[in-house]
Amino acid sequence: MNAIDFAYAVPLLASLVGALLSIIPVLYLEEIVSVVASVASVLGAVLMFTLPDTSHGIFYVDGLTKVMTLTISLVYTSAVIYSITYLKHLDNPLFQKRLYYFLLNSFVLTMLFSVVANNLGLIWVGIEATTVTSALLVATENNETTIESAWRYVIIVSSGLVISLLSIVLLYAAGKDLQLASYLFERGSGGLFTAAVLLAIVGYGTKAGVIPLSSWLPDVHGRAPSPVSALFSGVLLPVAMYGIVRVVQPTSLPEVHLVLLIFGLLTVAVAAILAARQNDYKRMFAYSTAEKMGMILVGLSTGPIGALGAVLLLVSHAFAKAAAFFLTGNLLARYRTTHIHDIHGVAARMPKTGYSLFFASLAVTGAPPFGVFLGELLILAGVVRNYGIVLAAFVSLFLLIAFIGINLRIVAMVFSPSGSDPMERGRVGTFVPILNIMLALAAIGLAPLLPHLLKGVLGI
Amino acid sequence: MIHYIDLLGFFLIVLALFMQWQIYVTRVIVTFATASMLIAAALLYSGLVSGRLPVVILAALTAVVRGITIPAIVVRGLHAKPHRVREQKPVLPIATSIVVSLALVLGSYAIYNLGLRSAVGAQAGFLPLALFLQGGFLIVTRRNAFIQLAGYLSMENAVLLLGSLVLPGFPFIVEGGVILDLVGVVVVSRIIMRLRESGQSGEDHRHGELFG
Repeated sequence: MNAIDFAYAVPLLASLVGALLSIIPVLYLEEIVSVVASVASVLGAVLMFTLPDTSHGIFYVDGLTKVMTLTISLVYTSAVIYSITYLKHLDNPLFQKRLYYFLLNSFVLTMLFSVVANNLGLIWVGIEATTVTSALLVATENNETTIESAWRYVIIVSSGLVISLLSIVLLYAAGKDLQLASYLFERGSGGLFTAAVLLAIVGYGTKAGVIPLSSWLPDVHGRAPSPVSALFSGVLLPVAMYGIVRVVQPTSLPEVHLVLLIFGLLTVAVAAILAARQNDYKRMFAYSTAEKMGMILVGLSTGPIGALGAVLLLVSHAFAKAAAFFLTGNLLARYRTTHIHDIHGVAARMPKTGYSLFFASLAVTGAPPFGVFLGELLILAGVVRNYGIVLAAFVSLFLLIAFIGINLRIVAMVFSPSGSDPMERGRVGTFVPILNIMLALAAIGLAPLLPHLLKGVLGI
Repeated sequence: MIHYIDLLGFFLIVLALFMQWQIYVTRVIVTFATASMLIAAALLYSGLVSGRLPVVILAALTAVVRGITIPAIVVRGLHAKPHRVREQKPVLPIATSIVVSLALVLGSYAIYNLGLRSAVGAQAGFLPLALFLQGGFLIVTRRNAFIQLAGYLSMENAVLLLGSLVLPGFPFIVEGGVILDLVGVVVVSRIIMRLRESGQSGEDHRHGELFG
């Protein structure tokens, strides 16, 4: 490993060291090392932007890798800091705190590995390893429902990912090389290649929140601890989406774009309707995540403008949705329910949480001036250009349904009258989501830089 | 060279069909272990004939991990609770499962020869496809978590068969990573199953919070 490879490895090494040190039984050590490791991971990710791209050796680093690494690292830091207060509210956790942090750091390590690996097979290994490291985190709250959710997650996602492993074997048979550097610069063709790419979309789609393949998603997001839900929605699903992006990147086959479009439209339509009729706020945000993943697929099917929008949406949604899930953690800790109709007067009783939740909800549903808005606008521009205005109107209709449905529910919770005393506590629990909302806003500033950063990726 | 793969495929399909009509978890897991050992033996033969050390190592790993360790992890403590030991209520009656699984084998053969053989090139390519579908079918037609896990493991074995014997040359480092992941999934599944069963008396509970 040369010096530049080592520099690329900093985020990975930071989370690895964080994981290993977390299991040492010293009071508060797991929290301290996890915070230090996550901040080091952010610094390492920022350092990557100063280094040239690389496609030789063990890492494949281009603009997309850098953007993904920084996004994962920032949400990782938020989740670690937020966990410090959140874990205090758990009555009967499944395991000791140090095991929680060990799994959290390991989970991030596997995600970071997936986005820097220079081999399609190892990307698959990394994405499957995220299942192993995150499954027990889902069951942290230790009740029958969370454990059932964890089992559904393991069996559905692992079975789905075997389909993408099958696709990797077929890609190898078609091209005799799984090195990303070689794969991305050879125009794949032929029946075997096409079949392999389509299987990869189905397989990774199981993990990326694509409907109807990911029935595990609302259960897991609904029942996992809020910092874990934030990591799932904010960065895990995009990491699985990264698997799809890398496989489809060298192809311009119309049938592949058609499949991406069909899965994308189906996901947007179904998830928007389901999000708009939920009575459980965590499941509502889970379906909202699926809807955004659907939009990313639509974006990927439309060429350079849509792909640019997809990346911008991915980044800004990561921060906005992480904020939303952190805030649901605050609500759950105080109100002890996830039922929307049982929660009233959040703005009066928990003002910082209430107003932050309102803005986070606007951010995730694509209100201007948040990055999600611009990302979706670019995707819609791609849809108009490639498929016409009628399809763009169809997509917009479902975005509107989700926007109205989700925000009406949030407004009902936040601004309804309340007769009880204020009950907001904890600075960290309110500060971290606000910071993430600001990042979702700041993500719009990434837009002018993206064409340069992503040059050569997805035809940009 | 191709004949031993055909023979292996025949036995693997027989074992996969045998799995479909089993209701006892131990027998399903032992059948999976037997299938893994057969694949390991074929890999060993292939490695020795071709003189490729990575294939021999893969054979050893397959025997140790898929043939011995994973089945041992899964069946450990299985008899402590009676409802774990057998499938209580399959989604499909066993007789129907057998008919459908036979149809899946024939369907795989037809689909492969009509649509995929020209692209893949290997004569035995339908075997992994048939085994893959058998594994998936086991997952969707059973409620017992251990048998669902066996279905997942069978799908993994089908991909191993494809990547290492039918279309040989799949990078060893990836195969190694796949095996590590497999062990991880089995260990985590086993922990979740233990938690799941310590909190309930059967496997047929309804979870109102997981609907909608």
